[in-house]
Amino acid sequence: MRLLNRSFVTLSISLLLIIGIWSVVFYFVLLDEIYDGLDDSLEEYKEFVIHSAEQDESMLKVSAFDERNFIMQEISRETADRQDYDLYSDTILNRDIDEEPERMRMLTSSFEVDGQYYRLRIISSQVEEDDLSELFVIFLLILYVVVLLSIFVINNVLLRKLWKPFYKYLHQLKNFRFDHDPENPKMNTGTLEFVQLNKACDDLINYARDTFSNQKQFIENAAHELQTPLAVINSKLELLLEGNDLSPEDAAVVVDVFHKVLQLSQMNKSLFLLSKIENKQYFDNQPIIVNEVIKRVIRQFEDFAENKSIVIHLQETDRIVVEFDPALMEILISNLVKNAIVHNMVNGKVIITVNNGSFQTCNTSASSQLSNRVFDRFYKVSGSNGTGLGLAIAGAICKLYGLEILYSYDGLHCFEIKFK
Amino acid sequence: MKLLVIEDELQLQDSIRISLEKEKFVVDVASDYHSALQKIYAFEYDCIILDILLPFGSGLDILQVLKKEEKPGNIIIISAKDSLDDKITGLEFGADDYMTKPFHNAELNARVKAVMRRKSLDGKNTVSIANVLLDYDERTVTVDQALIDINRKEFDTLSYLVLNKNRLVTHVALAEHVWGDHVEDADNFDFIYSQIKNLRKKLKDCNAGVRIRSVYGVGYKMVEI
Repeated sequence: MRLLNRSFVTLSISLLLIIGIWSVVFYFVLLDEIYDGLDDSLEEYKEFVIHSAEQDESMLKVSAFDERNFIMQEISRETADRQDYDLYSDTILNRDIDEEPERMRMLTSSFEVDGQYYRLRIISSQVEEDDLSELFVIFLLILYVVVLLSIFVINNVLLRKLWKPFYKYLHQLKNFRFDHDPENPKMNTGTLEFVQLNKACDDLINYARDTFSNQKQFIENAAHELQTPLAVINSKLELLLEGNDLSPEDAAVVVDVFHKVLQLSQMNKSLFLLSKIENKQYFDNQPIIVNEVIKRVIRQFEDFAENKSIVIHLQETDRIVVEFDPALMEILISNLVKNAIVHNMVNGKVIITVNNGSFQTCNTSASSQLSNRVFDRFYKVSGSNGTGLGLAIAGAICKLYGLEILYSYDGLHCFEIKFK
Repeated sequence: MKLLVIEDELQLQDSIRISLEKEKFVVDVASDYHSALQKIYAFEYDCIILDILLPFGSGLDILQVLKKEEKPGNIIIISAKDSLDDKITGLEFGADDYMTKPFHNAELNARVKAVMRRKSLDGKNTVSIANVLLDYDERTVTVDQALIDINRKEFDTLSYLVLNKNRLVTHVALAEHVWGDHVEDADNFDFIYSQIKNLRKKLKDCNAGVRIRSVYGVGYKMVEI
């Protein structure tokens, strides 16, 4: 749920509670005030009636409620003594036969004129509580709706404007790749929290960037630093083997070491290349005719294939021209072709197809279907002498150029790159 | 023939020196920018093997000095950086060749001889061993003045072995030189064997005064009979 909607829902619920409780309290306080006022006016009226009755004896004879809203009744002194205070009460009176009985507020009091005690009852119209509460609820509902509407409008106009830099920043962060974009996402805002968020994200990104580049640097340096010692070992071993004065046993040992050093150099070279590709240190893009590269690579490998009695078939029905780094294209194609020849069998075949914007190598092999991890570093089929990096490099090059490389198996092992 | 090897990694410098001395070159060494310049000013060299990354300066600066001083030596850059920019700059500054470390001794021998041959005064672009003559302009091989039928890869193989005569040429160095960079890490080098077999047969058929010997199963050596 979006923040704005969430705050809106929370506000609506809490406002409903607050207004609800407040209205109940307010209703009863108001009602109480009204009764107080009513009673006060009854009291004043009582004073007035008693005062008038002292001058006008006819008033003492009023025995039914007329428009003057009071009645008098003679009582004994004892009765008067029993109730010597003013009593306020609610009653229902049917003053007029035509009208419905009405709820009334009544003040009962007693007084004395010339030694005679009288009971005075004064009535006053009651507040219509049903009407009042109905009105109250209606107005409160209106208030509630108006408040909600205002909150909604404020949320959507004002708050949305306030949150705008945040959402913009969020969008930038979503698309941000620190190995890709040189500039950190930026928020144009004066809001303290947002500024702090921006700062925290910046710190995090810079830290990740540093770690990443250190890591990259480390792999590259390690591979680079290994190159010289390996070159020295290689060169010294060549000199040693040249010497002609080795016993056959010693020579066998040196040859073993020599082969292992070759493997090591090869692996180091591949790792170096892989880290360079992944660090995007290549990019001398120019139009490359893929078909020509394929033919050149096949020529390079034909003796190698022939030696294993493998036949290479080339089927071209399309001419692919792409913007690519020439060295990387050469590596990509030759790694796939080499893979198809190396992991083949005697009297096997390699079918290379260029069709409909895609390049495909299919080869026979003694091994059955491979897992999808073929593009992982150091993935090797048991018995393979390779570095286990050839396809990883091919995969990395494809990834660098946003191309898809697919492995499939239907009797033949096929690798396909879709250039278009 | 006098050569200067400018390389700061002493072990590597040492093996380059030994390898080149076996080719009967007189080899001088320098391991930093200043000593390299001193030697260049003091002596004349037929070929300079130059590392780019040096203590106290860059090999590219040395190239510029050589150009300014109009020293006619042949220059081969050896660099650990496999960077196209360096290669282009190096060649623009007057270097004759560019090699990426690590390289094989045989490859360096071949390159040194190639640049020296290109600049030799007699203008003949040929190399001979015993009764075998390789013509690089025509890419032909003659034995006792008789042309022998040889294909491109056989010519390259023979040439590489001839330039490294009496020296070990490993399978991997040969594969890299003749078949290209990407074949070098093929899982085995059996395919070279059939190539060598053909070459041996052709040389034997025309009574060439050379033989290709196998060395411990890691490579070949060309020797005069």
